Amino acid sequence: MKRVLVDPITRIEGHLRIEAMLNDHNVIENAASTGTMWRGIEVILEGRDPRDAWAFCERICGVCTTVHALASVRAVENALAIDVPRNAQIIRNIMELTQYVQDHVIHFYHLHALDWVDVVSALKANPKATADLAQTVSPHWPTSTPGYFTDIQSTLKKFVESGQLGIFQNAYWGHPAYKLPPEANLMAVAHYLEALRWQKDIIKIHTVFGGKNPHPHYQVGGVASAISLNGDNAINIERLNLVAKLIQDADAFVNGVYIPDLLAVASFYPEWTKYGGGLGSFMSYGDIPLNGLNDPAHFRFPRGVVLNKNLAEVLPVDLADPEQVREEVTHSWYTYPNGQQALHPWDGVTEPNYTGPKPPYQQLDENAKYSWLKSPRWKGHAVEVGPLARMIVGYASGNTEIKEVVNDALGRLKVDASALFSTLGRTAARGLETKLAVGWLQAEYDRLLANLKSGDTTTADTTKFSPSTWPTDAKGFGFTEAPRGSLGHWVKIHEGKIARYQIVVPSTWNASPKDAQGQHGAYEAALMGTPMADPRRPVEILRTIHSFDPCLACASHVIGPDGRKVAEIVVR
Amino acid sequence: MIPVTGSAKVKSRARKPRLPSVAAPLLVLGVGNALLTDDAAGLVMLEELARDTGNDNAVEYLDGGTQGLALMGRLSGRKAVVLLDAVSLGSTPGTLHVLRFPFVHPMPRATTAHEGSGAELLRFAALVDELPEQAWIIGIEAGCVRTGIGLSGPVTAAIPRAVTAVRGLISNLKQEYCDVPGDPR
Repeated sequence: MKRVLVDPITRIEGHLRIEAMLNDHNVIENAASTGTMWRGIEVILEGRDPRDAWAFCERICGVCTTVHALASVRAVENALAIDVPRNAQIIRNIMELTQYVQDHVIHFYHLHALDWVDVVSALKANPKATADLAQTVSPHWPTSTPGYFTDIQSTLKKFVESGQLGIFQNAYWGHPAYKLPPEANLMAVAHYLEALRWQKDIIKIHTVFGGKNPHPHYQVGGVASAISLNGDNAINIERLNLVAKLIQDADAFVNGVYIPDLLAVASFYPEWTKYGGGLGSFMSYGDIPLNGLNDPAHFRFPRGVVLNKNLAEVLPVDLADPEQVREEVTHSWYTYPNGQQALHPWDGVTEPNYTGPKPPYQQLDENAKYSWLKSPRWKGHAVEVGPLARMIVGYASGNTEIKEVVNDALGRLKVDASALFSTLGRTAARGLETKLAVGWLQAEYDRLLANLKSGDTTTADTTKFSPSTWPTDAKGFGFTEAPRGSLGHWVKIHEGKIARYQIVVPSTWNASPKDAQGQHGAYEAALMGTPMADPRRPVEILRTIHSFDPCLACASHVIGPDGRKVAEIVVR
Repeated sequence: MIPVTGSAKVKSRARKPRLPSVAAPLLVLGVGNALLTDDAAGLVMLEELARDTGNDNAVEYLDGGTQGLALMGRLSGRKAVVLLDAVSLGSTPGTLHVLRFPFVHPMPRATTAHEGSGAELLRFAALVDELPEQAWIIGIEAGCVRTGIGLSGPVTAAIPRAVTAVRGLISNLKQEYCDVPGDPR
């Protein structure tokens, strides 16, 4: 059996490494996902003031800054029974939805598109034919003339010829798995560049509401933004108008370019609705509350679990129930006290116990411990989290808005709902929820303005800000549906300080190793059954792993059956 | 003077950006993960530099944390950018690297807890003509990258040299672009 090794890197948990085992027909039969770096970030939080925890959590990861801060303040508020005012809830929703839109667009164009789009082939495109294609695919988008595409092509040519290919370097250009005609490749490259320019503006919404960006301010009890519509030193109508303009621009880009590109690219890869489905079980904590966090029935993203592709049943989720979310360490480099196998995060223990080979190593033993990631499970089930999980849970819950965008896309691609359980389904789900997010951004903005105009400008409840008002012991959980999936923070507070803090991030759910029952994590399961055209150039593995958005820059080492390294490629 | 408090906090003490405003011609951008020991070398340099800026309108000091592409907008409209970072170029820990874009090295970072490396940010910016006329990286070779707050000995020892180098560079860039006398320091 051949063993293909991809040694990529995530930014949440350190390094991520994938080993795929192929049969004689080059089909993946088994896979092992390994987190190769211990972070143990929770240790830094113990003994600190719980009101400061968000500022540390914001520094855990570059992409997920705001979502960690949000989960952290929610955990502390849950522990201390603090309800945030309506404005604060809406502003948090706006900041989170902004994160969704920016993050997903960057993922599609700058982290994932080049798995499907051949940049070098774009040099062969006819600019006139590309313009015709662009006007058909994106009829409302202004930059689609032959002259425009000629310019893009010459920019690209300059880059390729100068040897400064940089970000386009070391990909599998010319691989037979690339199916787009040159014109579609050129159009996609043009939009790749436009997305780069567009993304730098939308994040200004965080600057308006968070006071600064990067690392906007959060606050236990609300948001750290004073509002005075006609004032100079607070969020005023001028700044809100800037937000409105940025939302309009985002809407134009997402609906005018991203979604049409997504559907156009997807139509060339129908076989990818058959591979990469994986577990078929999904979880969403739900998020974007309309009526507070204690009312999940009024979340824009519904909460629930769908098991074994059964869209007829959505099971309830409770983050406080010690029998539901639990982490196992059977195949992880940790030890639990007294031989315990699974612990709820409130009782979580992060005691490292490395038993693997001394790095650098060629191969890991997937029958022993093989990862620094724990294995989170829901009632013992392995579940996938992220955009596909949210769309599946929403679809199965009968959510009208989610059903509408999903059914519309399935209709355009002429496939049925079973196509969702695939690599392409996951990539499409991310686009569809971006379409929803940009619409919800406008809706949340309208709610904010209506509430402000009614005279309510309160943005924080500080009645329980002083530790003198707190009980000696308290515990809470905070959650959010981060762009990459369900994120949970669990905190225990003792005499005003953090006594225990545990974070379970989306990538741990998806990239986890096997559990005590031998159930694979989502990445491992999704790779199985995928045929590879050329194991030396494992573009198929990258397509599926990137579809989860692990935010990875990966160095791929491809190992032949004799363990000899036959190729080494750095892929972005 | 920017008021400075204790050093264990991770919140930025760099000057807060105002919005909307005209970008200062020079941007000094610190990047790195404050929770991963030596990976924070760029942030520690930034903290030292931002300490004595006074009311200098020519330079903006920005804590970019672990963000990558999302920082691209902050390069717009600048004459020059000086990126402060931890690097992994195979030299002795604490070695100071002063590099000007375009780089000959592939520029691996000390760790990977970044959304993208600073060098990659500059390459993306170049692709869409958002790169300032001059782009520099002042990098310190990392020794130890693991969970924790605070730098290792060799990297701590390198900070004063690095800060002096950045001040010299800023002074030159000011003379070139800002038509002001160089900083006598």
